[in-house]
Amino acid sequence: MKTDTVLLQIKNLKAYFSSTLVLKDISLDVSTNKVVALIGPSGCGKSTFIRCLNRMHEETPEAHVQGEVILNKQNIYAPSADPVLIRRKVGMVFQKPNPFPGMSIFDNVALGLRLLGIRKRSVLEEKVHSSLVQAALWNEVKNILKRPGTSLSGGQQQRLCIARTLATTPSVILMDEPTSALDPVSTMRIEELIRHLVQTVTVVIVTHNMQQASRISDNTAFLLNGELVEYEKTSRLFTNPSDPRTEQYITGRFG
Amino acid sequence: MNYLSPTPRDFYRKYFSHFMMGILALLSCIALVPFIAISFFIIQKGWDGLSLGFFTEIPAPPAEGGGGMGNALLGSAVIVGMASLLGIPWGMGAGIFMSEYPGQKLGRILRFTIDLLTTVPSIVVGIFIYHLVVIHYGFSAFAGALALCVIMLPIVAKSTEEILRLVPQHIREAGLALGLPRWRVIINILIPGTYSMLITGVILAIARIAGETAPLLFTSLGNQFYAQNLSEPTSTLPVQIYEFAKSGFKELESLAWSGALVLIVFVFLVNLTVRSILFLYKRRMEK
Amino acid sequence: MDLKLKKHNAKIKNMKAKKQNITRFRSRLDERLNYMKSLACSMGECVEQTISDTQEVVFGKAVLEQKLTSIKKREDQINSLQLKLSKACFRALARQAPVAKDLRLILTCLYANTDLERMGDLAINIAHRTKKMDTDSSLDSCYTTLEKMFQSTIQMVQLSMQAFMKEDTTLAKNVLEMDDVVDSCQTQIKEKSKKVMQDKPHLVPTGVEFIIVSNGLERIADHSTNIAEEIIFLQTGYDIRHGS
Repeated sequence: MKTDTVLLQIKNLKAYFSSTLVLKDISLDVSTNKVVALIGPSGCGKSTFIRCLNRMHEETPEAHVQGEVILNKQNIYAPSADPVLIRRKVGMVFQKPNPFPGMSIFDNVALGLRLLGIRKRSVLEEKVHSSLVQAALWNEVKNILKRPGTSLSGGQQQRLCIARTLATTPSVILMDEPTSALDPVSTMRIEELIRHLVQTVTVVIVTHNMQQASRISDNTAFLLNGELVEYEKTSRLFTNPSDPRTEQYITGRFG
Repeated sequence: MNYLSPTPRDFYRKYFSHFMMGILALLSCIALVPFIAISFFIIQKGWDGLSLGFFTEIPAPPAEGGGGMGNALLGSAVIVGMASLLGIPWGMGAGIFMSEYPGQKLGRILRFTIDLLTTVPSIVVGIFIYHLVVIHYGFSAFAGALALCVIMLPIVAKSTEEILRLVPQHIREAGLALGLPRWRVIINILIPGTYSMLITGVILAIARIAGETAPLLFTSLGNQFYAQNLSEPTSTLPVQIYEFAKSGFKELESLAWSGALVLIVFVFLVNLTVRSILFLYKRRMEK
Repeated sequence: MDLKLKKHNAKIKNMKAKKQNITRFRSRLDERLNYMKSLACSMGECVEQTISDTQEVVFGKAVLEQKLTSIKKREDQINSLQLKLSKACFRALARQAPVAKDLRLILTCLYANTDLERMGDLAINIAHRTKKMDTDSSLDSCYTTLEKMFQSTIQMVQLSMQAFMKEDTTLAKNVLEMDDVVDSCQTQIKEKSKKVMQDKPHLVPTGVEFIIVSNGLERIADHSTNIAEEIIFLQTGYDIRHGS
């Protein structure tokens, strides 16, 4: 872990909903091209944590954040940092597949590119194609690009959302329980996809499924009541966790 | 004994259920009566007066008979058109603000005001415009349009807000997470995604103001002829129906019935259009 | 290693302190784990009894022919227990997706399973050899050492099974210490019987038997040591085999 380059460095992160402290002083490093899984019981602050990594937390009314998140040597919470620019570098995939309503498959992927000022049809087509290929969806949709994104199956929709995120070439992708609404086969496809994606991006994934975390992640963080209990290599955390609370949680004991 | 075999109480329950359903069905049938009666009545009374002339000619003096409501139809179209031109963007803007910036204090005040405005009787709106505009500039199509616009505004704002609120929060977040600024999320994602439903809301608002009478009495007044420009008193369909129906002349009364038929058919058609749009939209979403 | 153990003991203490309101939602897994442990312990008992039967025969307290049926019965029992245990482990792994300590416990069961089966085989092998042993005054000290070796080995088997049942690292470490005793007994027997064989050629067959029996006992003790090491792995997550 020490030899890897650190892409995302979280230092003393505290997140609030109005005056309630939901994340208590969290510090951890995310290395380039790794999958980091966040596990923990409901309400422990996993989702809030990843939402702090692309400044999405502050979109909730009365929510605010303290601390630093350093992405590629720049603090995304610096006063001069622009959330819009940060979100282009830190993409996000949500729990429910959410293709934009009434938009075709092509447009769903192309929207982010158009936003970046790409207008040329050939360039758009090329980028949409490569994103869909990367998201392992191209073969299924190459003949139906004009159909609405919502006409696809749940698993396909989620891959479409991943393609949409990939189109703007982010360096980090945050995933908030991306497979919790999907069937096992779609789940496996997404998991496989994530393992492919880490060759080019870094993935931070929240999951309720501990087996999923142990299958796909390189490092795992266990959060409990807004506290980071343990952050370890996944192979270590699931065979011999050092904190008794982690052991209790992963073996099914709850206090 | 089979543990599923009914007790006497169960028989009673079954018949009671049938009985209650019968009563409800009967009440529903009775509810249909006014609608059927109105339609039948208006078609019977108004059908004969309908001709090409009705749509193009101005009303003839009562003694001559014939004539039409061309001026009122045109006046209604112009006034409703102007009101929509002003009221739709205005109302939608307010609706978007209320739905997309809910945390803002202004948004809360706006929502409260809009709710109040919806409950203001239309005749009060008429008096208001009368004092604000008509007293200074006289009766005109402008004043009428302004009054209808004020009535339309809360309806459009409310429907826009409600429709946008139907879009799940995570769709907005997906847009934001792609690096879209908030206004881009509204323009590029929310509005295209709810396009047909927004139009539906607008069309219903238009149908609503097309039948308004009271505020127009104070503002556009009426005109026996085609209005020459927008600052003249202008006749509109509901007002002219009102005038003719109480005129006491048989010929004018028959024109009023035909006018009522046209109005009701217009509102029906609008509703039908809206429903089919909604149906198609829903089917497209489900596919 | 000691530091790691200390850390681990602190962890256990911590866990016990917080134990009062912790509920475990894995009753089915727990039931399977207890079942596996009981299977392993039954195997341990069989092994232990076979060894003590052998001891009785060697020291003339019983005749081999009397013991043969019970030894045969135990051999079958060990074999069927081995099958049952490996099946139980396999199924629990497939169905319960165990992690952390649960996973380590199942792995320990699998390792111990092989060890116990080997121990049973070795014990039975020794039992079958014992009929050809002679007595002689020069062999007395050999017999004494062998008796000590038998006792130590039986104790090691018992202790390792207890350690397994209680998941106790201290008992397991005692087993590791006792292995040295058994080893030294074996060396002694080897030296002594070598001498006896040189001095009295007619006792060579018995001397060879001594070496083979002591070798077998040493191997059994070794397997007990393995089990003890596996118990330490189960409790701490550190593999201490081969000095790592």
